[in-house]
Amino acid sequence: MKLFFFTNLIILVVITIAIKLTVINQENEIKILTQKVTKIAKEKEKLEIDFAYISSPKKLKEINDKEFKLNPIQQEDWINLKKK
Amino acid sequence: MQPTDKYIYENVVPSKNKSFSTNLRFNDTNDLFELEKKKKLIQHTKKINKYTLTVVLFFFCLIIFNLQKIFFANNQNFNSFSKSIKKERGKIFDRNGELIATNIDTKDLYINTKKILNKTELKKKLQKIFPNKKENYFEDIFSKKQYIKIKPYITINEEKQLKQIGDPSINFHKSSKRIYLQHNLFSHLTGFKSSELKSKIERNLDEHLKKGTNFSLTLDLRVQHKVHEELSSSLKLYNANSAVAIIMDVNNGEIISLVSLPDFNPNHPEDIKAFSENNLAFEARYEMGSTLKIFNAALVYENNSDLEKKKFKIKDGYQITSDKLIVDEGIKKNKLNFKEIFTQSSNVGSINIIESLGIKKQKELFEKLGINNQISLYGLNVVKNKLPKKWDSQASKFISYGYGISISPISLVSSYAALVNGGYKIKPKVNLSESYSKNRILKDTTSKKINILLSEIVKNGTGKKANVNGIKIGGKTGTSKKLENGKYSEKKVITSFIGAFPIDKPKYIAFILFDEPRRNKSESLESFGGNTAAPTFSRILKKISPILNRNNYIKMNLE
Repeated sequence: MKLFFFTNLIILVVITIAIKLTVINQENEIKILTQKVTKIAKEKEKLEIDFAYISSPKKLKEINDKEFKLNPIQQEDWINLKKK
Repeated sequence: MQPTDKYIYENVVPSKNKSFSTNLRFNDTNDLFELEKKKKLIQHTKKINKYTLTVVLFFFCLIIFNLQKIFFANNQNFNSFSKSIKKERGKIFDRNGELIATNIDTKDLYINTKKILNKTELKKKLQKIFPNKKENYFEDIFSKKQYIKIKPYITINEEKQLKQIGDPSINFHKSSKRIYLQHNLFSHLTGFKSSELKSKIERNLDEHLKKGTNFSLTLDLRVQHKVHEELSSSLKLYNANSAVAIIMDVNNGEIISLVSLPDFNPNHPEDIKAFSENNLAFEARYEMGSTLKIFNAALVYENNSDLEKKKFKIKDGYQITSDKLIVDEGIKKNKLNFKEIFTQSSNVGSINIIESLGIKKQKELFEKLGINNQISLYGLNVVKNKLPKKWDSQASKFISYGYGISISPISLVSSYAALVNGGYKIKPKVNLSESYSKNRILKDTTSKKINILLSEIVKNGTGKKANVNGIKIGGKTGTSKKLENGKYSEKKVITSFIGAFPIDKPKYIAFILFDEPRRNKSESLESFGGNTAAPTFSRILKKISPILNRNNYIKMNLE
């Protein structure tokens, strides 16, 4: 009886330690991955902010006025198209 | 004497325990005592066994408990770890997901005065990097023995230069800065967030934003930009003090564009002037003048009154108080029919209509339209309309042509929406995820007749300049004198235009207002809603209609 309990106890302790070590290992891997994801997310966010700033209507108008001088489609343009 | 057989005690021990059978053999009498001893020993051992078992079970339970902790408690830790990554302040988007407000990682500069190697040299170098700081600033700081924040949100260049100094007293702390990518465009909605101060949505929804919840506005960046551009140039053209523009979907109350000028750049809250911080569309109220006259028409239509067929005498004016005679100066006709009262914006005619209908019906309509109640907007403050203290017959007559009652632009837009959308009361909203509800408050026929009347005002009446080729517009102009020291000014006016489009089945409503427009400095009273707000409405609509309603627009022109 005693032997049975002690054997169980030792097995449980070994299993617990093994699980704990696996969990720690997995946790570390997840942390590393999360850090990588965070880094990429931050980079993505920076690019998104840059893009939002560059593509803001005010900025686009400045670029258009400097480089392309294109005119937006207006109500009159559609009317002319219809008449033609 | 030779020993014969061994002594046999048949009945010495009870037969309960098999290990001590009835056939025990003893060599001598001492064995009996030995047996007693053994029995005691066995009982003692049994006790110890029980204790051992309890201890083992206890450890067993402990291990099970720890195992449970590993599986569940660690998951919680991981969740909180991942949550801590996302704990950034929520972003603000427009209706199409365009970024309006977000956060960027930056650094704050700190100096530990105890660790400074050479104070004079450091002072010189810092002065070079931060030329805007006062001369004595660094001297004062260095004289204190503290760990002091010198500048929040330093730039990359500044950081590089500071690192080159190489003084051990210089420290950098990570921080996050709120930035507004569209600068002034949404300033009156988002407000601003500096290190401590906050305003508007940033303040009212702080609890949600702090938790990282994003917020989407109903506004459209493209429309907002065009409206802002046009309204700014009109503000300069008419040399007005301030201007307001609102564009709203009449069917669900979504505000597509809202511009209040002057505005401010929320990226630089330190430069904001008190006056420019007010959102005039929500936080100001005006005596709207003639735009309120359309409510008289709604009253007539709603009550099936025969006033529609009647002609009204205008020429002699109307003696509203003992010392005040109301005259329609610009109208040459002696009599006007019902439609003409609105197309030519007759004050006398409006008074006559309300005199025939009575105060009660007027009050009821205002109640239905929500003018008597305060509008609530998620995340923003709206001022309560100022109703007359005593709503008697005289006040009712003043209200009939837009005086004696001060209402906020958003309240006017909201009540007009109900007039043109088929008679449904809708709640204006700036939060895209907010649901909307419709309550019928007016007859469908009333709304249809109002739309025809509004269309007539733009075709042949005071709102001609609001016309845009290809779009059917209906609207009403408004001009009101400003109240100064208890008297109505002869020089200062508020001009406005409110219009719905396409008027045969309205989808949007737009409101334009100018405070004190001065078209010509020598003739300041030349400004009316019809020659300031109406043409601005037209210019804005020309630019935004392809964005707002492209599909319908193509259909409409190719039919």
